[in-house]
Amino acid sequence: MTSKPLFLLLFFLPLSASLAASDLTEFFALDRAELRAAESKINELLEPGTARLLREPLNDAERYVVRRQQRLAAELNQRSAPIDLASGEQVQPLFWPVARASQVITGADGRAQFRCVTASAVLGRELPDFRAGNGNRGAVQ
Amino acid sequence: MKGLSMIQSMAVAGLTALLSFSLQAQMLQVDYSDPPNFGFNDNTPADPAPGNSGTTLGEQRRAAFDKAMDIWSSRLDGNSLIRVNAFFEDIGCGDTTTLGLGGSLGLTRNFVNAPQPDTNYPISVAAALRGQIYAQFDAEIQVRFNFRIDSEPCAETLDAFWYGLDPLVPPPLRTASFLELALHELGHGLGFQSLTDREDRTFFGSPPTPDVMSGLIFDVDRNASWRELTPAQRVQSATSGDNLVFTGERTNLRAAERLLPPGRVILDPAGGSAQTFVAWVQGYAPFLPLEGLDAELALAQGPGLGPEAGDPWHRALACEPLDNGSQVSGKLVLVRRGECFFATKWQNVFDAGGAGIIIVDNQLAGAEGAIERDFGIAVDRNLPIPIWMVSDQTGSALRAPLQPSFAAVHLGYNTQQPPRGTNQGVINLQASTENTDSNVSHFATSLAPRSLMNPTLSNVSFGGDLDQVPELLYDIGWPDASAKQAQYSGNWFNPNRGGEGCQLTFDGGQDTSVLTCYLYNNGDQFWLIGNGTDLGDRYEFNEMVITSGADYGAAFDPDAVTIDRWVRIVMRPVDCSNATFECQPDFDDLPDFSSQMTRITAGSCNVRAANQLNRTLSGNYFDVDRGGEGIQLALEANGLSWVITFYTYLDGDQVWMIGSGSRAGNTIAFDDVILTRGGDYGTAFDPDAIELIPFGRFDLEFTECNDITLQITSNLPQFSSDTRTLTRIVPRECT
Repeated sequence: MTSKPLFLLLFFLPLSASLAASDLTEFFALDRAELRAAESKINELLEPGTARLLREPLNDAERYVVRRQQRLAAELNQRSAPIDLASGEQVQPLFWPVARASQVITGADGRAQFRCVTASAVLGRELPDFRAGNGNRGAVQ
Repeated sequence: MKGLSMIQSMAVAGLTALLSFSLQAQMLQVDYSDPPNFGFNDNTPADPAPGNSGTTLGEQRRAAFDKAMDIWSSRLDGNSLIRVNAFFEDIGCGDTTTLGLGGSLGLTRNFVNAPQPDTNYPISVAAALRGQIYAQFDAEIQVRFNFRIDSEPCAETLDAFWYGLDPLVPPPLRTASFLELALHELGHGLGFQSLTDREDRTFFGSPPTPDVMSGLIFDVDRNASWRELTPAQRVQSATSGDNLVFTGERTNLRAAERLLPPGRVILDPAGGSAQTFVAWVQGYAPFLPLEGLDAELALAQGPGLGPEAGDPWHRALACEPLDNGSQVSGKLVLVRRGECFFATKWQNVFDAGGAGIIIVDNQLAGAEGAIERDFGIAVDRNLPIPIWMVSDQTGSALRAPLQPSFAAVHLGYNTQQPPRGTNQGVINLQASTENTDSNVSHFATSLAPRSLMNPTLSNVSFGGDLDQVPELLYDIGWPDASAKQAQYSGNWFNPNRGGEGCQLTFDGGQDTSVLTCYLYNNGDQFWLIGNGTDLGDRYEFNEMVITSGADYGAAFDPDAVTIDRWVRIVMRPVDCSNATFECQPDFDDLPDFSSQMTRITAGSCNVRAANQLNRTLSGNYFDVDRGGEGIQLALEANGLSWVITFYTYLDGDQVWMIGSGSRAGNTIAFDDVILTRGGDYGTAFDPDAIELIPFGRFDLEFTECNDITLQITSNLPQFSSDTRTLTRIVPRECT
């Protein structure tokens, strides 16, 4: 392994955590209703798959949602080259392309359905769709 | 057990030593990297959660995640610790809300001890095999959770995570078991993940290199593994339904043992006009065994909302306590769907003494609201009777002969059909044309029972059941836990049943499991002993025997000892400190009985085989001239406390004494030995009825590799003091 990839790798990994901590500070300063409103407009703000900005955010909540999704998209798109170790081993950082995410959705019967999908499907190609909001459907009997 | 509360308190003294020991020897080491007062460190007071000692949200979350790591650690081994980075974050709320995500932080190939060359492995597996963490990474596994699930109405049908850890208390409706979620995400991180690009199914690496799982993913139609297919063929294969299987040998051996064929109900099975109907099975344990249930069928009758008089289902909804208990007791009970939760109907049938419940759909077949599938029933409790479902049409056919009499039925499985979730006897991976993002890295949703690693989580593993997932991990290279089976060694008891318990040791070089259980019948002690078989996920002690006929001390005559097979005991560990003991007596007048037990002293399950306690002195010892009595000695999980049980006789009946001590050089002084009496068997047991009688003391000295001397000092006139020379019942190899 060369020293440069190792340095970059070590730099990148703590960076993700510090960005997440920064997001939290912003999160707790937000009005929660404004945040949910921003999340419901996510497809006006960002292009699914790329998280490319489609229009300027109008308030703190929209700015937060844009930053969060673009951070996640950046993590998703991060590709580190394989690293050759002295032992002949080749190791490659690769979390998002193979990680799995568990989601909850409302099934046709009105009941919660938990499904595990490719993490990148949630955070990259198809950004979460918050447009419909939450109704008050009762549990199935 | 009351007398053992003293022993438990001894564990506290050794806590510091234990912690320093376990930190150096861990299998999985978690870094809860959340900031103060957030996520895993959230100090918000939390409502009590069953089985979880945490009092804040953060403590409960950590307890549940630690439990998940204990469960996995108990079933795996390795040459290195594996680091897990776990934290909470905002992953959004909405129609598709992400609860959490997880995976290995990288892949690697051609590492030291790699089972296959030029093959990609998750770095979690590789670190375990090569005996070294990856210093290039800050962890081998990462797991992330959405904190907003607990803090706001984040998803339409989910109120919060469930942090309960009691395997007898299922998650309430509208909650998701955090333990199950953590086990699932860790399962991906440990290696249940296809290392292929989800878009084009190319392999990763330069040059592209096949991964270990692809060697075991098999396309039945093409008669080839994924390693042998082109990327384009793998893309097709990934959505090819039951054509996609996993060929790992150990996985399939376990699956063959667990998976069930389709359900059915047979009306009048012994008669000349037997009719067979499809029936849908419940989605959670305990499952009806393969032989099914033969019983009379009765119609529930009781007050409450429901169809008007004249409707054949009038008063058959079981939403309130039944008023025909005498008719339904001991029978399978037919109940109409509607007006209340399935769990309420189940409870009312159980309370009325029903042997099981068959819910009849109130929607016609094909209707949008019809539940025409297995696992369609959501419940929030755990009752020991089956709850199955049939269609509206089948229900009508079953109901017809019930008024006013009963009908004989067989509820069970169509054993002529293959187990669900298999193709040509091999277990299916998910390969659906719908929701393709779940494909390949999960077992198929068609499995019954469901799996922890199905793409649809269902709280089925809220109690920690790993089904056949450990075997999949063994198949891709993880060492199993057979080298550390002595982790289960020690004394076990049910905290709600203080005064009885079992002791498990491993004799003959830690290979032979010997179980003794210390019980009561009509106020008198009795004990059982037998050796068992390690079946990976359980120990089966199929011939636990009871003895009688001998006397105590000098009056003991080994020829007077009679031995009778008494019970089969199955021990099902959740982790190394918690297990279900299922007692199945060989006598019809004694019912089967199950007890949730824990070890009397706490110990970490998160320990590799190489760092396990030295338990070579634990085991069973006897006097070669006094076959039929002996002692069992166990070093407890804290590494400090020793517990001895002396199983012997008085006037032809079994008696047992128990005591605890600490080792000093080659000796152990047990100065608190007690005798007990007053309990009863099974559900009749009352811990308050147990009386502790001080017996005296035992002084034990290890003399040779397999030999000890035991000085017995009795304070009770009916038991004489004595000194015995004892040797192991299964000698270990001495060096």
